[in-house]
Amino acid sequence: MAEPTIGKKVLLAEDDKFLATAMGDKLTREGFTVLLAANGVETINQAKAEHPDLILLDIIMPQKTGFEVLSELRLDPTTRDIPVIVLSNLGQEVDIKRARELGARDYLVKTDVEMKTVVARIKEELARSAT
Amino acid sequence: MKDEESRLNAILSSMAEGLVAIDEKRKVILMNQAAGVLLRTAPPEAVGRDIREILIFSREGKELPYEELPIERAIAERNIISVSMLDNLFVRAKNGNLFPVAIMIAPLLTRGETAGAIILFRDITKEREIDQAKTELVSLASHQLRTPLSAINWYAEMLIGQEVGALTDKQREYLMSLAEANHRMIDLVNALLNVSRIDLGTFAIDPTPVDFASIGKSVLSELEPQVLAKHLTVTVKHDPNLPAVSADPKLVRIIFQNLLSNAIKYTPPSGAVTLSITLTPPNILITVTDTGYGIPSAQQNKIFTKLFRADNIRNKEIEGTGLGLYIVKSIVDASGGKIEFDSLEGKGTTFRVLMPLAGMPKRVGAKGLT
Repeated sequence: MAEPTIGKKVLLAEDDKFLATAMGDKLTREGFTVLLAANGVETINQAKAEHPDLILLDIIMPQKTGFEVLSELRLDPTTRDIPVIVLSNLGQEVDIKRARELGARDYLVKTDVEMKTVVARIKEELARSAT
Repeated sequence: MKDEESRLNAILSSMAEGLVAIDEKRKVILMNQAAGVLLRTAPPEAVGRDIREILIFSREGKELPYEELPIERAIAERNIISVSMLDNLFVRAKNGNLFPVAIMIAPLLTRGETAGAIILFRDITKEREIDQAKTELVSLASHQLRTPLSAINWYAEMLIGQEVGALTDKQREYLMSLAEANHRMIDLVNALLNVSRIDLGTFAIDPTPVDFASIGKSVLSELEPQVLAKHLTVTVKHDPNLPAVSADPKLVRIIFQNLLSNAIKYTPPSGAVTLSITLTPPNILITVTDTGYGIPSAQQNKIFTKLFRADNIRNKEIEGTGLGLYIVKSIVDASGGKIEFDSLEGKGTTFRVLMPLAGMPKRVGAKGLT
C-alpha cells in the first residue's frame, strides 16, 4: 500500500505549546506536512487559506472554542468537507455528543490516548476520505 | 394573650423563610410575609384559598401533579419531609416567576389527628448558582490538570519509543517509571473528580441495556499485564443466560475496575482471583473473590470511607488512593443496589455486589463519572 501520509497536510489546532510541539514533531516524523494554529480564529483562517487534508482540533482554545470552530467550518462550503478529529481533555459524554453533532469524525481524549493511536486514527480517516 | 399573639405575629413576619399553614382540607390558614413576597400573593388574600392554587410546583419545566407533591406525602406518612436542592424542585409565583426551592413540610397534628400541614420554604437561586460555579470549577481544574499530564505522557511515549535516539536500558527503565507515575496521577485526578461529582450529587446515570459479563471480561483483559506479572490464576464464571440490564455502562465498568484491580493488587504472587456473575432474581450478583492479604477485622467498618486504607497494605507499599471503594459504594447506592464483603486477614476477601435487574434509575446530572 502506498504511504498515505506523504504530502498530506494536517492542521494542528492546539494552544498548549508543549502539546503542540510534541504532536507537531510526531506528525512531521510520520511524513505529514504540519500547519499549526494556536487559537480558534487562526484555525478557521488557516483552514480557509490552506485547505488541509485533516484538522486535529482542541476544544478549549482562546478566542474561539473548538465547538465554535466546528460550526463555522460547517457553514463554509470550502471547508465543510475537511475531516476533523477532536483531540481534547474534555471527556464528558455531553462534549463528545456535541462535537459529533457538529460533524467531528472522531473524538479522542488526550490523557487517554497514546500518540501512536492518534496517528493511526488520522491515517484511517485520510484513507476513508480518499475513497 | 394579646401580647402573646403580637409576639408570635412579629416572629412570623420577621422570618426569612416563607411559611404557610394549611388545614386538613388543604385550605390556607396562615401565611407569613416572606411567603407572600416569594409567591407574589398578599397573605390576607391567600387565607381560605386552596393551597393548590397558590403553591404550584414544577420539575424540569413540567408542573407536578398534586398527588406527587411532598405535601401529600408528609400528611399521608405523618412525617417531616424535606426537599433539598438536589431534588430540582421549582415553585411558580403568581406573576409567573419560577424559582428553585428547598422545602420542609411537617404534618400538623392535633390530639393525634392530622389537622393539616406546615410548609416552610425558601428561594435557593443563590445556592444553585454557587453549586453550578463549583461544578464548573471542578471541570475546569480537571482540564487544566490534564493538559500537563498529557504532555508528560506524550513526551515519555516518544522517548520510550526511541523516536529521537537510542536509550540505554537504565534510561528506558527510568522513563517507564516516569510514565507509570504519570498514569497514576491521571487515575488520581479522575478519581478525585469522580469523588467531587459524587459529593456534589451531580453525577449522571444514563442507562442503556448492558451485558455485565462482557464488561467484566473486558476489564479483566485490561488488567492482564498485572495478572501475568504476578502469576495469578484468574477464573471467570457467569450464568450463560444473563439478561441485559438497563444500567449505565460507564458506572458498571467503574464497579468492575475497582473490585477487580483491588483483588489483583492486594493478592500476593501466585494467588487466585475469581469473578462470578449470577442471576439471583430480583438481582444480578457480582462476586469478586481473592486469596489476598484481607482486611483487618478491626478496620472492616471503615472500608467504604473516603481516603481510608487498611494498615496491613499501607506497610506493603502498594499504591492506592483510598477512593475506589467509596466511589463503588456511591454508584451501587445510587443504583438501588447493595454491596457487602467478607474478609479474613491473610486468607482473602470476597466482595458481593447486588444490582437490581429492574435497572438503574435514570438521573440527569451535570457530569458523568470517568
